[in-house]
Amino acid sequence: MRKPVTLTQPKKHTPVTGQDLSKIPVNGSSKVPRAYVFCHYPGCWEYDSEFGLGWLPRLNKLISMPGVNGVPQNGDMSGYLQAVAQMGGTVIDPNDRRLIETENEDDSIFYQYPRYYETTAGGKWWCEPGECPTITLTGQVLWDRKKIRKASADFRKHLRDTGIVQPMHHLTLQHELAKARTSIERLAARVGLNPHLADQLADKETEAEQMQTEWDQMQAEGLKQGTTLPPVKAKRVTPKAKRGQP
Amino acid sequence: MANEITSALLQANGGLEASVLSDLLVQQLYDATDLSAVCTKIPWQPAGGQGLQVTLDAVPGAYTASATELADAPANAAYTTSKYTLTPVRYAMRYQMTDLVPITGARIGLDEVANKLVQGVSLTITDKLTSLFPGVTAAVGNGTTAISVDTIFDAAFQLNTANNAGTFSLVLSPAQINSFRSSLRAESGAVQFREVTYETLRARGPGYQGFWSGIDLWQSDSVTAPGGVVTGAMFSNGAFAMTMADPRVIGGNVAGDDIIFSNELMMLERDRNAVNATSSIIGNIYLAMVMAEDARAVEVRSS
Repeated sequence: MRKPVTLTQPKKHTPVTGQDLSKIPVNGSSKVPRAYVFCHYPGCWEYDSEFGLGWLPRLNKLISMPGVNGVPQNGDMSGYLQAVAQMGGTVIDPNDRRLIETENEDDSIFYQYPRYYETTAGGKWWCEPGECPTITLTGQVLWDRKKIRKASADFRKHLRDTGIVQPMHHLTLQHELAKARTSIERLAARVGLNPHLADQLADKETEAEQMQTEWDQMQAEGLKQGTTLPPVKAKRVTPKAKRGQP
Repeated sequence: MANEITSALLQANGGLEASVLSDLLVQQLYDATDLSAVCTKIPWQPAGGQGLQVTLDAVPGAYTASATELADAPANAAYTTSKYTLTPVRYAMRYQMTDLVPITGARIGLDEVANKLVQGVSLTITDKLTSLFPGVTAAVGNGTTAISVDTIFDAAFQLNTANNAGTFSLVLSPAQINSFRSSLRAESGAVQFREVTYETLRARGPGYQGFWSGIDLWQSDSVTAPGGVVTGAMFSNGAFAMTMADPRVIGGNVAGDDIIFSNELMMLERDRNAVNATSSIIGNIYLAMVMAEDARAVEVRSS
């Protein structure tokens, strides 16, 4: 005969009252970054006055987006990277062990730098070194831009110092200095009618001096300079008539 | 599956209200910028391969003087061409709606959903174009200062130095546009800014901001900030190219009643699932975009 049963062991379940805060919330208008690698072209350098790190390589970000720049449906970038190499670019291989900036490989944020966070939609949010989102309880995603710029500058300094990118050529410096001087002259021409530009002009002048000083220091530290030909000595031609005379 | 359009979801989020209270649909705020107007459009020509090769012709050169008037055969000049490849891939989007939604009289129906799929095409093109900006070699500005009139002149001068001609296009983020307008307001003696009008907006499409000093200004929230540096771009005609493969060739494979809409850019199909009492609309496009010539563009960087 069947008897009534009393259930005494309810299953444990923590009610989910909000979103999963370990994932980046996305909606229809979110621009979710794709997988990428960095590359560097020889003439792309910029002076870092924000963190005082001197001349740093300016990197190009090559994005693995199907249909863009010949990337096929599966996201394979090999053809794209080959084209970049043919144009003289240096692709920063994420698996290059020279990227390891710490004693322990697992602690490195530069080694295998394209990393991702998971999103609430189930996708991947690819990030650069130093990108740490803060997710508020209302689902807003905040980014510390200055911290990201610092991490980016440290990363590029590491690329420069370890020789992963080609050293800056002195003619690139001349080009950048000329651009800075042009910028100063243009500001100086307008500062009379636009007094609010005076501070900007003073900053630019200071920065131009620092650019040259920093370059000199880099040279003193023994970083390679671009090859230049030695000056050609003019040959002294002896007239035939005088040949053989004492 | 997930994200089905159910009556429960619409009731929770305001999509299903008594018709007396909300007979009118009002669009939520979003950036509708369509940058397809600033890309060079290459007509798709299927030729048995996935990629469409486009030739960049050689530049003409100046003649060289002969050493003598007679019998001095000139050396052959190099005819150096280049090319780029457009490889269309499938981009798709799908909305699925349960039968209970129209039964309960929701204002949102398959027509509205189909409309969203059509509008999404231009947003896809805009996203792809702005994703190319961080790959441009030349650059002006830096990540620590806001954009100013000087930054824009720097970019225009750089393009001019590289032999670019004609009207330039400048695509910036909303914050960059604000900085530029702010800088422009503070300048005396600057060139006049020609604000967008109804006619220019109609001619160029959403996102167009105005014209200044030979430059068409566009704004898009798709402009990215790699490394904490907001990266817009200024470019001349021919810097970026795109193609969209015509999907109508597969029309014969689809039952005529299931095709809601098709043209040379996209195809919208209906997919009925009687077992689950849902109807889906799927939009398919086949898009390729490429940076055609790097020398025609310059990054515009700012904080």
